[in-house]
Amino acid sequence: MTAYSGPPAYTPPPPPPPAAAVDSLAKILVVPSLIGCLVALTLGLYGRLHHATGIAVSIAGFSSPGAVKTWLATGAAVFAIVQVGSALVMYGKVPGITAPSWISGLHRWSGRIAFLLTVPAAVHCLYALGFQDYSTRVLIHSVLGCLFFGAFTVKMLILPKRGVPGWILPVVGAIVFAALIIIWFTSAFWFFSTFGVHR
Amino acid sequence: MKRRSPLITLLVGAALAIGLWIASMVAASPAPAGSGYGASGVPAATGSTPSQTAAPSPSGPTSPAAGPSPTSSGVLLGRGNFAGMDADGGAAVAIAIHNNSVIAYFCDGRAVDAWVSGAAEGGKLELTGQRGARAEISLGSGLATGWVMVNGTRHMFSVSMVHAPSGLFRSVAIVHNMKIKAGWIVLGNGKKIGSLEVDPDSAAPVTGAAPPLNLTTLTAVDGGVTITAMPVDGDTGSGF
Repeated sequence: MTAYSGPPAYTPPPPPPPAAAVDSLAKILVVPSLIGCLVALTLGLYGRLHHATGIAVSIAGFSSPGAVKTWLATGAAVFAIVQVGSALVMYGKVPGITAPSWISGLHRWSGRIAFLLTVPAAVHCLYALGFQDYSTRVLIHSVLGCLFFGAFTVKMLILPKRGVPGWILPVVGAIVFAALIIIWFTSAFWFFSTFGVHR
Repeated sequence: MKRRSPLITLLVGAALAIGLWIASMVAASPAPAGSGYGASGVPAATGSTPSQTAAPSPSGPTSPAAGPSPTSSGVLLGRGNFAGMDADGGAAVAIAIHNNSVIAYFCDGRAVDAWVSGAAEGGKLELTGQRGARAEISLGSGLATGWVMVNGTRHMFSVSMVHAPSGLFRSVAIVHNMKIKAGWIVLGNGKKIGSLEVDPDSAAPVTGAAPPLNLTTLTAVDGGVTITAMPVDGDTGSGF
């Protein structure tokens, strides 16, 4: 007979298989991604199928609707740069600057302002001009314009979710930012360089 | 961060978009002429910057209803004037763009000239004129590039933006019981090139050098008769 050697040592249950971790990440992302894709697709299809009118609601005080959108886009790009800058500070990526308490508020509000500035420009663009592909510049603008709103939707829908890995948000944020900057280059920058910088 | 605030941001943006979309449909519906831009204010759902609604109502379109028709699918590019010599150096080209209306003129200061015009469809300008004149122009980087076809000959060009007093000038008048139409191109360096058509609406007008244009008075003297010229200016809408 063996001597009683005490209660058996505690063996923890085996860790869950890695597939489960990927599984739950997919569950977090799949609905926002689908909604984002739906947004992008809807904008693109509307732009393609709607008969562009050449006219949409505009803002007084500018020389032309093209100038209105150009300045709205430029404003959005400026606030987007504030967004990225504040994100870098928030993540501690800027050497020598510690994140002040108001940095996340700055990040959120600069993002909101940038987004809301893009909306009138996009509505006008889609309504008056539509999805165009007669040149590389407008094709990139049309595609990225749709993608920007889809990516922004994804970012907004992911933010309140728990259990999102830390790298997802910066990646989505980077996509949103890159899309907006390229959109600005294919439109506002072209407008300024063709017609000059004026109201 | 409150957990619902990103969703609220999205919904506010969507509401703003829908509001502007409805306003655009109202603006694009057959409206009385005058304001080529339709509604002059932005009905912001979020109470956006006051500078938009405080600005005087359309300070831009003071020109007579030269705005695009509601059913045209033109592209609203902006306003600008371009002028320069063509690729061969033998003739001058001037282009005036006012919203989505375009007027262009090609002349060699002697017997070859052509007026073309059209709407800016989709950013590429395809213009036509009398007697088979045609032009195709695209814009970018401060340049207007393309070709104009006059009397079966294609002339390529790439001309840069110009500002007043350079640009395009036009005069239509009756001189000695004959209708004449003159066009002058004032280049960025001040050089002037102009041609004059006698009986411009016929199948074969007689074209020759235009009399010199006085830029201060905007007049010229043709056959002893003083004719007045008007600028064809995309910035102001004059001549459109």
